[in-house]
Amino acid sequence: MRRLVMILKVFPQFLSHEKVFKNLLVLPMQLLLNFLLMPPFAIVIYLAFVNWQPIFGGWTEAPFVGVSNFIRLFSEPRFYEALGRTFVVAIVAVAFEFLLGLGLAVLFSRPFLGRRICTSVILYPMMLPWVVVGFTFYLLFLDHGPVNYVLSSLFGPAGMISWFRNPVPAMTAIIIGDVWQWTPFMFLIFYSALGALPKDPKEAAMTLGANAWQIFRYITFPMIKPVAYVGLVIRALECFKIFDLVYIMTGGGPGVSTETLSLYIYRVAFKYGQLSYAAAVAIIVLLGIALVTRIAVRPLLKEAA
Amino acid sequence: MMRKIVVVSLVLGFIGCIVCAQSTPAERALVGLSSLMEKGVIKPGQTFKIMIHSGQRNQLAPAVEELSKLTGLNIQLVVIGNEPDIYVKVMNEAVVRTGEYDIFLTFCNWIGDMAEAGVIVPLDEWIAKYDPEIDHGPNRYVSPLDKFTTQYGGHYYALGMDNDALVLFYRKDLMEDPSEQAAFEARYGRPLKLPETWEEFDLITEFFDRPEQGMRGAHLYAERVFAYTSWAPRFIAKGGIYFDPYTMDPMINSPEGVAALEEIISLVRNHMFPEAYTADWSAAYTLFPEGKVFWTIAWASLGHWASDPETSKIAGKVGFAQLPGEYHDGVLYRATPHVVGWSFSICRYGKAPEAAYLIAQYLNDPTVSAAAITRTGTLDPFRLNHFQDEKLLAAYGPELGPVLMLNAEQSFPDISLRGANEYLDVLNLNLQAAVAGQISAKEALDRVAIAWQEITDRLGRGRQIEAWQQEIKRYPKHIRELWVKLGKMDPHMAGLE
Amino acid sequence: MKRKDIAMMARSPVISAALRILHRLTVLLVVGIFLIPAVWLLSISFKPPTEWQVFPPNLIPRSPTLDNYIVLFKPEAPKGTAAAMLRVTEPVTKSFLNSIIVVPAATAISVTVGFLAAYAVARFRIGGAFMPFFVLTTRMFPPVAFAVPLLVYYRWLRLIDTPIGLILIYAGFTLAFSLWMTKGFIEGVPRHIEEAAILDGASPWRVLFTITLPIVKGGLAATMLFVFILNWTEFLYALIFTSTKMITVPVQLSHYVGAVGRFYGPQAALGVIASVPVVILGYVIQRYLVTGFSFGLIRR
Repeated sequence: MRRLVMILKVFPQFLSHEKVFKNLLVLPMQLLLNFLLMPPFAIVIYLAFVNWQPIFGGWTEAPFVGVSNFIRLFSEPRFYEALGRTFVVAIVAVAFEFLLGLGLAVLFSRPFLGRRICTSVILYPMMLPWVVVGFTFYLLFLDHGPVNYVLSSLFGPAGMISWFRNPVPAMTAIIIGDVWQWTPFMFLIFYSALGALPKDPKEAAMTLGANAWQIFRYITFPMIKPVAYVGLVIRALECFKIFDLVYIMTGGGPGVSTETLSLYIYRVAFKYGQLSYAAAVAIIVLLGIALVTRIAVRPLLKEAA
Repeated sequence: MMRKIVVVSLVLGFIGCIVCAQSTPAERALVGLSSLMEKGVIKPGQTFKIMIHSGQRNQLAPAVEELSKLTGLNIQLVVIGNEPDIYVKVMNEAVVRTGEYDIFLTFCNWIGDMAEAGVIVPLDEWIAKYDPEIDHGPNRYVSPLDKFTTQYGGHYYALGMDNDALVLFYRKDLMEDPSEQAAFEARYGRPLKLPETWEEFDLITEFFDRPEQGMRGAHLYAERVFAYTSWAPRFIAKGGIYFDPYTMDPMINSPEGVAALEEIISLVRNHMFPEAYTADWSAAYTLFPEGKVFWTIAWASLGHWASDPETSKIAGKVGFAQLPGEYHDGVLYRATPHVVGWSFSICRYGKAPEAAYLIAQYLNDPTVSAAAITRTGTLDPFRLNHFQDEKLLAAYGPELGPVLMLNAEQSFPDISLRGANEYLDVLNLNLQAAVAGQISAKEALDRVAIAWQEITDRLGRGRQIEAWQQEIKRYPKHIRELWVKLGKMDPHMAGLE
Repeated sequence: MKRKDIAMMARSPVISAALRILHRLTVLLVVGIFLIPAVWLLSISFKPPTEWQVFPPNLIPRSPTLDNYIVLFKPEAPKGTAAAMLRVTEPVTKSFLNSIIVVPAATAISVTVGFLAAYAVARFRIGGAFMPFFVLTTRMFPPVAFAVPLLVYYRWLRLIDTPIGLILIYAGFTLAFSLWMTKGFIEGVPRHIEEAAILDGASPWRVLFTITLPIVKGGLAATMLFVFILNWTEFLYALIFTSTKMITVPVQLSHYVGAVGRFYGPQAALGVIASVPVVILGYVIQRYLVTGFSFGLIRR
């Protein structure tokens, strides 16, 4: 009995012990991720080294083929083209989203009448199901759609662009759609970061005679840099996997000229049923992105200021 | 106890035989189901799930409800929206074998993949036992649909439920207008009439291409998913064949294939709206009823859409025609593509496949299916009796019926082998790239040939040759005769002797 | 002019009023541009099928109809050829119910678990450089290639087409966001505030919940909104891991397809309706997004 009371008395102290505390905090996350993701990932690795499609039969009886899936991947031009295309789209789109998001957040940083409603409008594009965004932009950019209607009203019939006929205008339309859909994300990040800033440093600088641009550059921006950087990395990762807009607007066409990496994997996995090959591609993509991201987030993993 | 069961079964069997002599597939299905229930194989209230596409729900729901009431079973329709998602879910079922679904309603050219993955069962035994009247009797399927919506590799795997032979829809008012006819004859030196050959088709398209009036000559599919439906009929009518039947070497880059593709490219470039190859396939359902193109080749459902004043500006001006072909030695060979097309197959992992088969047979029954197809949806008439059913014909437009039948009779199937999706997707993307001007026709088809060789090798050439040799025999007779005439194969291979 | 004079001028009422007007105009312009596709979407939702792809396009429907909305809830109600074609699936109520059950639960789990872990990572560097990065890799893997292996695993666990199954997937796959986004916000909280509380004798739990949490409220709210949106609009895994019972709104949306292609009208209508809960959530959390605090107010 006494022992029980002693344990009960010590328990809160035990929990507050630093080592216990920090491990307890990460425990749920580790449990969830390990439970959910480890076994399937093991299957993925297995699949990458066998030759299997559902039309061959059971996946447990598939023949071992070593690295031939990977060799096939590295000699597949369609993969490299998709990779390059995806890089271009991601870099352009995310750059626009970053700048626009930041600009909008600054624009909205001081209260004004109707700010909440305007913020809701800005956030709206993110909230639509992706299929809906996809076909909205598809319909907008149709040869005989509203965008061309406006262009022809402004510039005459010669101003109309056949958006989906060639990869460059098609990718442009896709990027515009992505920017519309995901600038709100960067806006949200910057808006909440700016909103959480302490007022004192800014007020101090203002009394010292600094103007708005100086305040922004030397006070505000450095303070939101960590959050901004996280937002940028997250958005870039997601944009690299762009699928929905491309699938609905062009299906990867004409030919494969707008096929992004995710669309390529989707087609290979679900249309052609080559799940082994798709696993190999996915692993390589994972390794590649992990390498690039690791370098990019190094500053974020260091000691915070 | 044993004695009792034997006696009851004998009596039932005896009655069944008498009934079978003059009954319908639906009645035989019902008898079969109740006998399964007696034997305890299925129980009252047992659930059966049919995976369908959303476009068929309106058509099948009343029949399914009726059947549920008649049998005391709980039959449900599970709707999937995007057609590729159906393929994904069926293939996933092949892997995880949940037994969640009993019947699939899928594209009939997926049967190869599904059979090879082991997720559907061969139906030969049950078809022999319960006789759904596929290829005999006054209510049989329109030939050759009876073969290519039901079979793979020499066995039955499916009950066809649809007819997706394309139809040529045209502006009857313009075609029969005397001033147009005079102008046409003056310009080309021959009368304006429904085309027999693709060359005539192209001329008429050119004649009616009037961009200044806001009307283009034609709308043909040339986009990412269905480009092959415009190219294939020309290719086949010229005597082309997808693969060599002895070696499985691709033959789509033969002179016939290249010529067919060049014709399409020229048409798209000169006489069609540019979005023919970037818009999704529903563009035909907007352009033609709006009067923006002179003619189009599309599924039969467009007929209904274009003839209804509520949905069409050209109601009453629509004509229906057979697709043209080519002359060989003075004989006209027409070919219509039968594009996709839905059929029922039975999941191996369901709890009671035989009962599931009987449910499908009931829905496939001549009268039940006629009532279903009359309702709006994606299933089209496929049995002979459908084409005599007044209500059904009224729903489509009485003139469409006979034309649809003719087109069905001259139709050929999509590639239905194992890996069909791969073969067709690679073909499509290269056809579209050629139409878009990214590569030349010859190069596009050469690329397809190389890709197809790789696919065939990966899947196992021996098996593919066997399956292809079976598939050839399902093509309509006149096409097989053409192949023999052109020396592509011997009559035995073509199934002609 | 000296800098002091320019600064004085900048504070003059005329120029600040002009700047204010310019500011408002810019806001209106931006809001207007953002509204264009949304307005087009709304317009489609009130159009009959014959008007979905016409040229020249018209913003106001020529024959406006409520059928696209009605058919979502009562498929049998609209009459006429065009309307009969739209009768393709069950009413949307079941899918809404499923989404309302699954998404908030998954979001709550994800944000909570992520926030707790983020605190440990931000303050104690647990897992070093590897663990947080490893969590981020869950977002680098193409979801398509993961689907079938996960499906096999779920089959073994008997979790296909169950609420728990979907909740776990949604929580697990958004954990990376929750972790990294809240980590960023936590790192923005000056350490000395927490250290002061510890010196005062507060336990680490108390510091976490009574000191840090209120300060990062805004960041948490933003994270929660974003994770909610990701889960609410997710389609691929919802399609693959449900069959009949747990269909969510995005999967239901995909059902509106048929003989003449995609039914833009009902899909637009459902898209609009589906965005309403999210919009409400977004509006509500805005209150938390502009906390701003002063150093002088940390004493309780």
